[in-house]
Amino acid sequence: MNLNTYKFLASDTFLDFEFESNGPKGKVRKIVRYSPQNAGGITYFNLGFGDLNPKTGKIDDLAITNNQDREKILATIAATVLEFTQHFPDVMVYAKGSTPARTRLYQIGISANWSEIEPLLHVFGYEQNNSWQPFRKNVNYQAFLVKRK
Amino acid sequence: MLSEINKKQSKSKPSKIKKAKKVKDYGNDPFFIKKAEESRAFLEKNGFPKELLTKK
Repeated sequence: MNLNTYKFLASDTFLDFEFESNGPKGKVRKIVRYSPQNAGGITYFNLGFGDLNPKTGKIDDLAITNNQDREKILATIAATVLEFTQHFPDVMVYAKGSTPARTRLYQIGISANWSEIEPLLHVFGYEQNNSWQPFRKNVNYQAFLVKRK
Repeated sequence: MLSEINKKQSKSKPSKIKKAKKVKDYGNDPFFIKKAEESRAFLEKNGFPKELLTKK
């Protein structure tokens, strides 16, 4: 894997990952959480991502860090997906940003790292016309589902 | 549910990522709970791609 990522750590369960963004605004702790969930009798994991608020210890999903490292952060999130699905190869991972703009960032991140992702993962996007489709670059999606090949 | 999934964990490739006890469990964080609930609502309404349900 050749993604340009931050180094990240995993919790004992491999459901929680943490890394540190480092840029002009300083160091910011980022958390990626894979939450087990069930819809219609089907188990999957929801990818959640946000900044750790050092004062509250809670996640702040709408924080805007502006640390000029967007691509590296997206690549790091992608790397955690690859790591997580290596440990849980039979599960699906769902991802949707907190805002349409953030969902678009996931799309940009998948596209930018497609050469690393495509050989390993089935990636589907939910299109505006209400259907899941295999991921294609330059298409806007509302949400994503991935699974190990 | 998780225990069943844990049994299926891949043993083929050891991870290069270190597990760290200082990475806490964020399963009870309100943000992640809310996000997971929202995902369930979306998937119960819109379903899953059939292709993923039939793949191993």
